[in-house]
Amino acid sequence: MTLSPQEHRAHCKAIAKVLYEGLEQPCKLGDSSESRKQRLLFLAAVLHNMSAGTKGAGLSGGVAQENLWREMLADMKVGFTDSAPEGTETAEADYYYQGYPLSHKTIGYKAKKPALALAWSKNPPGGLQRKEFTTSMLILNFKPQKLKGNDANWREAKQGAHIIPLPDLKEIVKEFGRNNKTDSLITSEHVGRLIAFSQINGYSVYFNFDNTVGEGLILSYWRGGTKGAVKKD
Amino acid sequence: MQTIDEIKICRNLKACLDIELDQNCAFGLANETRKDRFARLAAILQNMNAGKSGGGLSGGLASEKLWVELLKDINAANKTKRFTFETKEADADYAYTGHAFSHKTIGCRNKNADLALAWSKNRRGGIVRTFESSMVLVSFRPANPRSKTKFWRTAKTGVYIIPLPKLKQTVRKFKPNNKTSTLIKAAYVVKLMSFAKEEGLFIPLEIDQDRWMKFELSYWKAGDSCVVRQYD
Repeated sequence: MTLSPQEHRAHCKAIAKVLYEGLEQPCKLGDSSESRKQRLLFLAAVLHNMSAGTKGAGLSGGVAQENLWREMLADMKVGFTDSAPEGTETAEADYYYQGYPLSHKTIGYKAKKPALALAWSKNPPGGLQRKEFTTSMLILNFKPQKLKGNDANWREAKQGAHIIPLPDLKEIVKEFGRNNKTDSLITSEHVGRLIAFSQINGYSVYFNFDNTVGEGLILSYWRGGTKGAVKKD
Repeated sequence: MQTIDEIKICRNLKACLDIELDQNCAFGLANETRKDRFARLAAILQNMNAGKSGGGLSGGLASEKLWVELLKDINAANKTKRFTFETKEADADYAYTGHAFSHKTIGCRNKNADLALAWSKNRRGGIVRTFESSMVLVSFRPANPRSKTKFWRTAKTGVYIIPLPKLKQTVRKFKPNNKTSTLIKAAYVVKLMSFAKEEGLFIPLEIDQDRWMKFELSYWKAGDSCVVRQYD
């Protein structure tokens, strides 16, 4: 998909608008007396509490939160899909809005110095090096704003969905860090800059996430018996 | 001595699962056995993740969570909690009567059954991971009569339990790839699964994916029925 920077930004602005409106509306599936934002934040809080302090929780918690977010997007029925229109797939895309690809990243409530990864792999020299963004990004940030801290961007970073258009993503993150799981680490400092960019330029949709509402609860397909399994749309 | 003990513990786990999988679930309203519920939910999960980018990882994580719920259901129905979930061994996911087990899943669409001890690549001089726990391997990969590997031509889906000494003895060296430096090559996996089968450390589980093709698991759509009080 070859788009100009302006077109990328227009797509991202449209997505922010759709999210802003859609989160306030009642759920289409299940109990329609609650808004999508209410259901999302309640279920997300339960998921957060389930994974907190367990081994490998960052990875499995992130996957679970992303799945929940996708379900919320599907509930809107405005054109969010898991798959691309034929021939337009991109490696980084996790879902699409009316064919426009987005990669999804989650920052947990308890994340201390949140770094993200472009791809979770370490290829040897000469192998495939994932070092270039190909898709705009949506960062779902549950980390509460902390007014104290060394990094000015993180002091301003609010909870919410922050969208960063591809050209700006490339402009802000020009180099990657590395750790024992990836060679394409987006450092905490860069993540702070990405969120700041999104907030300043009107690509962010905010929410107030309170992880205490999920205390003592878990989400369980097992204990849901037959009710967690539903017919596909 | 340690080897015999480890095998004995694996046999005990197998005997426990043999009985408990056929009992009705302690949680939930449905009057179904644990084996049936696990097979139903696992089949839906496998269908949901099949063919998706990253589906192997998500499917494996989700299947492991489901298995842990099954173990908690067994705990709930018995006075003694035989399964615990806080372990000191780096590779352990749970313990049976205090003995650590790591949990691995082979998905229904898996073609090259490599496993990893840990999903990380540490630098020289960094942490060197070794086996510390016995293994429970749940395989959803169906037999394929045309497979190049004899084992997979007639392989059965189900639970394979592999004692720690057998893991250490069989997997002489790990291979690296772009996600881990502790890859357990498919040939080793076949040896380990064959051992479990031959030693009676295998429990068959039949997964009927076609039956559940039109279903998905959804916290979003299930309303409050999947939100429950924490048990443990």
